[in-house]
Amino acid sequence: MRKLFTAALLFLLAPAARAALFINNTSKCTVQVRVYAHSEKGKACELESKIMTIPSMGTMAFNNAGQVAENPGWEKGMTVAGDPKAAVWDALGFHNGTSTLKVGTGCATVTTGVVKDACGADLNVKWTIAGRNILVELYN
Amino acid sequence: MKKMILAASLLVPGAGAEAALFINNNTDCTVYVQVYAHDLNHGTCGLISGRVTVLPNSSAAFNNVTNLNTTPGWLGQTAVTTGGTTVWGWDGAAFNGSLGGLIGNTTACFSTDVLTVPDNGCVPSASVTATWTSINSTTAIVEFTP
Repeated sequence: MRKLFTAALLFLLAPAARAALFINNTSKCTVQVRVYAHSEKGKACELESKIMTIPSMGTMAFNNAGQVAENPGWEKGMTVAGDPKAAVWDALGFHNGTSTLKVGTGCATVTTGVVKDACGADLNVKWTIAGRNILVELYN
Repeated sequence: MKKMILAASLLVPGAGAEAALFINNNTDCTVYVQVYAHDLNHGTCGLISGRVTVLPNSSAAFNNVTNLNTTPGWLGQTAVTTGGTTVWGWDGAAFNGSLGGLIGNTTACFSTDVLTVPDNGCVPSASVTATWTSINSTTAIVEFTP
């Protein structure tokens, strides 16, 4: 039990250094999403990415926040301060007309949610911690 | 590591989750990975992929086994997702050829999910630890750490 507790504690500490963000879209629709993160000593969600597009049955993977700068890029000239590997993933943001959803930690209040996708169906979003990484599942 | 996997599985109940393979290279060396998988027409570890090149401090991701059909391709094979995730799935990975080793889901064809070997020579006298983590029955993360 103590081992399990220790493991759980490790997970709570997990999102910090060397964490990857993995997104898996198994829905029937293309998904457009922004990612939010912060630098090692920054504030939650201070970094907002441009919109990235993930096709149906497609994936997106970032080893560290520094890779967001390459594709899709950060908004308004934002950059990660310090070591990109020490930056922290905060949330994913979904916008579809009047329908918005922010899932994650930091500036998000939920780790699961539902938003209308561009095809008119309900898109389920589930943010989970997998080892030291963040895994987000998108599915109808 | 088993504990972490157990804890991970507790945190990820799996409902609604679908199968994906994520490869995460946290080392400063390029890692070469061959993926082992199964589908309707190929038994456990019956599918073996060509080399996936994962640059230093970068990641690769595959939603399903058909994502490897074209690049890097399966060795003389074509994968299908017929039958869904109860039929196809990820089994293991070989990395860095003869300098590396084999890891995978220990209920599939490889006996270990963690392996530490000397790196492939790009950082002399460093080592790389490869870890296979099955998040649920069908989603797996392969991680390389210094």
